[in-house]
Amino acid sequence: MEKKQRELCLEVLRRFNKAGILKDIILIGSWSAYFYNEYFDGTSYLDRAALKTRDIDFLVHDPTKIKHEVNLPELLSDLGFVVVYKGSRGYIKLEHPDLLLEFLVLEKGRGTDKPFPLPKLGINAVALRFLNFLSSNTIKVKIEDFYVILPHPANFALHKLIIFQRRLRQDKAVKDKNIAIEILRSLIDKGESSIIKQVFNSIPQKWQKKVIKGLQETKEQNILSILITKDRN
Amino acid sequence: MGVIKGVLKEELENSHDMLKSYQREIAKIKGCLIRKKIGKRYYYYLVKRQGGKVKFIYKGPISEQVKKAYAEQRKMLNKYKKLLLQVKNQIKFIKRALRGKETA
Repeated sequence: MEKKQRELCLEVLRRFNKAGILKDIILIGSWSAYFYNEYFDGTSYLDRAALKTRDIDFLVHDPTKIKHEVNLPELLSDLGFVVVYKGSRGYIKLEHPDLLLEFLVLEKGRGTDKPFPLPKLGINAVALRFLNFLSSNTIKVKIEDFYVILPHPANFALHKLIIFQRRLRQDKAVKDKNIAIEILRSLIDKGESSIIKQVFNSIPQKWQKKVIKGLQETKEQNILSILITKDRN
Repeated sequence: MGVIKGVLKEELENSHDMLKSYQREIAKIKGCLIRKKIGKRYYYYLVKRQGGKVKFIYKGPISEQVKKAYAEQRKMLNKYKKLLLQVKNQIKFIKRALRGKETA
């Protein structure tokens, strides 16, 4: 990753922290894999599987809890970010040649393809399924003098194993699969196999089947054996 | 290789969108404020392109606040122009990379 890109990402996070909204958002997507480096300190984890696009996804897990009103396009405009409306529905993305920021919310009920308005942040967001799995178990990683919230690596990896099978684009599916396997291997390296199993047990059976199917495709016997061994007691 | 090509194609699409956005932002900025010294006094003009010609529009006396706003606008214009150039170079680079042939 370019130094310029990393520095811009940190500046965005610094500004979010200063504006008081960093605690209301979870950094998801392939950029989480970059920030897992600290979590996996001492293991062989190298973030090598995460071939990243410039997209950074932020999950606003509970828009009603946002206390500070911050106009994000204004907050970042002097850095050169511009508002771009995507698709026929007009999803907002904040774009810069080095980074593209996108905001997501949990899809509830029947779901909709309309953008979800976030008036307190001056933007709208995309509502997506399965994201509650990422927000239900999070970790905090210290960066400089503030903390960034990330999904727990086990949740992140299992989520990727579920969604890679729903991807329409093959290249994206391969990318998701690779990063999921890399993270699961690193968790095993770190001695956290029990956490993988615990997270796996917490998800609905339908999702569990999808995870198993995904792992069978990748022929990851070691990880599979952790998930399908029966619990004692 | 499919993954890399896929990422590059996505990035190319993003860069095209971004190119349009920066061009739109630059077009929104209508002219720059300049100062001319005539005799012993300073006069302010708004310089802008109208068709193929550059027009100087006399602004009369202006407040510090307006001057500051124009200076800020100028700063943003320069920034957007620089970023637009960066996006154009990215597009060139990605297109070149996508044209490359795989050898067995």
